[in-house]
Amino acid sequence: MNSVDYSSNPNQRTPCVLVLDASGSMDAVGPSGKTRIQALNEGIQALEKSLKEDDTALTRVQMAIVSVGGPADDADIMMDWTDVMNFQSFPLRTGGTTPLGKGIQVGLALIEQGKQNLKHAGISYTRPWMMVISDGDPTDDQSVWAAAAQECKAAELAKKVEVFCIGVEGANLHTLGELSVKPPLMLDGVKFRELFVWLSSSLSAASRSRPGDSLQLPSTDVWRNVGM
Amino acid sequence: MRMSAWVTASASVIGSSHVATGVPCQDACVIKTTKADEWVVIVVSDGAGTASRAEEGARHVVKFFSEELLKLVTELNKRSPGHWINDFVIEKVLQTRNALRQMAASDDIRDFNSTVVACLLGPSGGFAIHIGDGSIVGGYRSELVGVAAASLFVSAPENGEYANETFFITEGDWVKHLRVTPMPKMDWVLCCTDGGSSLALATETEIKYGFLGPVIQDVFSITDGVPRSKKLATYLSDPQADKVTGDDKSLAIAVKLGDMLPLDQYVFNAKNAKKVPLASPAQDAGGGVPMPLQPKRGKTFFSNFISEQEDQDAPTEPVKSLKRSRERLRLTVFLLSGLFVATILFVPQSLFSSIRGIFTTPPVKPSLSVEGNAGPEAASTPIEKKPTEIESVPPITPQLTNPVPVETDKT
Repeated sequence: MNSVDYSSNPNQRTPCVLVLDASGSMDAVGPSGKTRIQALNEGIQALEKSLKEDDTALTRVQMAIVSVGGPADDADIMMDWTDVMNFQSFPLRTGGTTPLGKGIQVGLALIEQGKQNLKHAGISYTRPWMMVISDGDPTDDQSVWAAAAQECKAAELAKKVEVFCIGVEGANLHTLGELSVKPPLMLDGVKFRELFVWLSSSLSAASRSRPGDSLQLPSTDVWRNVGM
Repeated sequence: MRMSAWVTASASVIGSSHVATGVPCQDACVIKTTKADEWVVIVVSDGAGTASRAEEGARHVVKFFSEELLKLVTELNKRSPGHWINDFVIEKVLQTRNALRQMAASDDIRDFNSTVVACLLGPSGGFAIHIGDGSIVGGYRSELVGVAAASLFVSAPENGEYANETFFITEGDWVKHLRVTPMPKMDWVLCCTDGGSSLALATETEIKYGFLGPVIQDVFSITDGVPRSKKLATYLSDPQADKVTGDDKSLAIAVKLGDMLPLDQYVFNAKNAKKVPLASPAQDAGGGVPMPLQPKRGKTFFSNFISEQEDQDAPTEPVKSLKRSRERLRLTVFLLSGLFVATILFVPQSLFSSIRGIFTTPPVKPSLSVEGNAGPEAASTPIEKKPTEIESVPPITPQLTNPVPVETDKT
């Protein structure tokens, strides 16, 4: 169980899992002169900042982090469910391999567990998100990766989670793209606050069906198909 | 003598997230009373943030429904309420959808996705119309074993598993989500969109007294020349409201000042309105679709309309699935008996007679038992009837509403 205090904040929640690649390959330096892990860490800071700027997001979004690789060279929960207002981003350190497939599975399990916690607490929630930020070169066994990617896509299609594959500079977007029905996005262009607003606006429970359903999302029109 | 005139206030205020992203206010609300303030009509609609012309949809819904419900008052003065009210509501939904089709110049009207949260209340009661989320709550007097009590009427939001996913009048399967609920003689009533309910309600069946109490007191009791609706709007526009919700928020309130007790005396009574077990047809088993919660009605002008539903306090959703499984059973039995008949017709007589020899009972029996089952099932209507009496509609809908094709666009 997690340590979130529901009583002080009885609003609805938006659970958001970050699956973050901290593998050795994230040390590579991109064209901008930054290492990939620097770009990722800055991205997390940007996410924190933009969510905290939005009054509603501040009280609604709940975060959890799964790290992939890193000094422990494993895919595991690094931070359990935490309300954004209590969230303080921290830089990830790199190391080891990239068991991204396992990380995805840990993330999906965290989401189910988070939903159960909210249900038990009688708190309503919007569709959870899972953001996978990586350079997209998993080192899992091919079978593990294929199973994870399939599970992830299936969960998205079953409306269990909204998956966002986000690549750092130089990422293998093709592999990352296997996780979602939506095309992957580059970390630089993500507008997290708009994403939150757009993800929390009301939509049909019955048919989430066509590109036009989501045209309020500004400047990242590749996402217009989200919400199927 | 009680003062039984309705006094009203209503406001829709844009949400902070709409301001931040340049999306207009997609809520709309209208509140109207008849000349002598005997009847009140409230219509509130929440246009979906994901629909491109949501605000037009919401505006059309509130304008059309409020006008039509007001016209209904004339009819109600001549004719006592009955099933025809359900028909009336269905007809108005169909007309709304047709008008939206014309606005869209298309059969696909999802650009106008919007909810319906409405009620019509007169001197002796009325009814609520509800499609999607948002809430209708109100206070009425009840008598429990001869003791006067104050109860809370609730028409709860219907969501999917997720709080921001709901159902709209503009969808092909609206008929599954239309709820028409009779209301007793009310002291006060509040209709709100989901943004409004996050301010005014603590839960689906509990008022936030700390918010609604002072607001109603200020808006309705203090006469300082400021229009009531304007005063209500200032509460909704307060920056503190943005911390609770970034969504558009609408509240429409009607009170009978002389009749109203302190707000906290109106309590939702689970016995009066049987608590419906959470059940979700399409989502995962744990998810909840709150179904209509119907308070027990006293003898009212509306008792004719109501009496049909007296025995329908039973859960709606389980009933639906019960009905489905019965239909499935019937179908299975029907197919089996068909197979049986086919066997009689086509299996060579010699083989058949040898088969028949195996059974000691006459082979006709299964189909007889089908008849026997169908009888009591048909008779057990109390549980089977839906509150809205909408069984008569499905035959019409296929012609009028094209089922929404579910595309799975992967680009």
